[in-house]
Amino acid sequence: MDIKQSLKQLKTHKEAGAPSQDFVEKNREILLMQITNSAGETKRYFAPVYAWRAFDSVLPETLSRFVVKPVLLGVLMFGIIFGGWTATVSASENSLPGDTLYPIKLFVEKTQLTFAPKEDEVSLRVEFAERRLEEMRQILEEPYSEEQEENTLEAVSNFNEQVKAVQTTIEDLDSEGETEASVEAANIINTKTEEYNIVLEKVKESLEEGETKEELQKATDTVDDANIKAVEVIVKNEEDEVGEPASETIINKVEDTIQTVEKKVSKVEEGVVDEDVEALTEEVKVILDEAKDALEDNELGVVMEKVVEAKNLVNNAIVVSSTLVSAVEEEPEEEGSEEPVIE
Amino acid sequence: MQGLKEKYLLFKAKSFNDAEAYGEIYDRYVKRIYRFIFFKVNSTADAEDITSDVFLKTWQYIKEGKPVKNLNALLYSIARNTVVSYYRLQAKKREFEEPVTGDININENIIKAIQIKGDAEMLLQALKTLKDEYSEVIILRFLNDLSTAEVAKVIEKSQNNTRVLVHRALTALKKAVENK
Repeated sequence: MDIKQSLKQLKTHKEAGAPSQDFVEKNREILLMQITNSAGETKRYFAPVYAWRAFDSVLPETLSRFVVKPVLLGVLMFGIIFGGWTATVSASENSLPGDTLYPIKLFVEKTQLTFAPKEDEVSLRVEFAERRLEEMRQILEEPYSEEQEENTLEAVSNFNEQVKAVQTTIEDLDSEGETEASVEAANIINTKTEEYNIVLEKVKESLEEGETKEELQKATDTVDDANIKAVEVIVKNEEDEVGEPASETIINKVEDTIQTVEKKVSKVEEGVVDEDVEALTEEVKVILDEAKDALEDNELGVVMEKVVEAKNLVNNAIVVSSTLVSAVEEEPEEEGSEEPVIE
Repeated sequence: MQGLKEKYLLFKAKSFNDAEAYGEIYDRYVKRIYRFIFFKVNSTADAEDITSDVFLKTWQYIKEGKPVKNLNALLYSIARNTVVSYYRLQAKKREFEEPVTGDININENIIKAIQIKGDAEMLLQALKTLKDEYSEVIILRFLNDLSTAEVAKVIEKSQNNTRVLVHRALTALKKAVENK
């Protein structure tokens, strides 16, 4: 008996391991169903990586391993040596203010903003603002150095710039009638406000009185202002949807803005106050009372008008108060001088 | 064995989550993998379960982006490992269940082969008596039609060693048939 031949004949016997057709078909069906469910969406778009994978998958392994890959590696090395730009950019991603590569990081961000469509600008700026906060955290975690304050200041200033720009973008989108985009942007900054303020407060706690701390206060004010603008836009959009009562969430957001302005007033009152400042804060309080009345009547649009008015006035009060502080610091202290400049 | 068409199917499955492409790969291999498993386990039902498992595990392996140099070898290697896990599980079960009776290596499928008449019957019974290493190379080489080079990749031995092993396995099988 030819044993090899006999073995080959066994193939068709069920008892010698030929699967039943029924199993083969049913199992195929179940398998495809399982993998379709687990695979998610079928990708159909073209990407350079697929071209490479397709090319690589049909190449004989030895050709791919000993010819194509080494050649490509050589080309890549050439690129890295003579065109280090990409590498530099990616290396700059983790740089901090004061690092040599940090200006490159900022330059790349600016370039991104230049080429981004207007509706993407807010999310990009929010991302950059978050980077600045992270940088502040990292700088302050490092052992103390003379440049620490200066570097933090640089990050804070840039953070300020980003948040101010977000506010301007929201205002622009709003005035251009781009409701959807402006509301989307407003929601982004509104959800980030609390997070920003927490981080800014923490950074403030770890700093001595000085220019950087002042800049941080400005940053908090900027965030609050941007948030008030955001809530204003959200409320305006909500009011356009006639017949719908305002949701609890929106009422809470509006209430938060009133509280923000109230906190600002208290802060001004704690500082250096003269007649003008006092008059301004009193006026703000009256407006805020009106805002609260309007809130009870559920007139959110009116509330936001009042909040914006109050915020502008309190900002004026802050400016006046800060000029008074500088005046006090500059004036030499003389014994027995006449009346005090400040009340 | 891994022709251009197969490489293309693998690429489609990997890059585009193409289930249908993987279905074609399944069609090409299911019978061979099933047979390979069938000779190692005790029941048709278990062989079917393990076969399903092997193809699902292979899909997961491919989707994890791990390199697939040889799909044929990959499938057999996953099949082998799954059979090993199956026996481990069986052993654990037996620890808690009834005491083992009879020889655990007896392959019931092979016993069924008694129904097959003539040479086929003798062959299957003889195959049963061979040690695992021998029966494995015979199934791969003659029932699943793999080349010596492919068998070598599956059992992770050199081609020369594989050739020697196949020769010894055949001699052992012949001897076993003659003793029947």
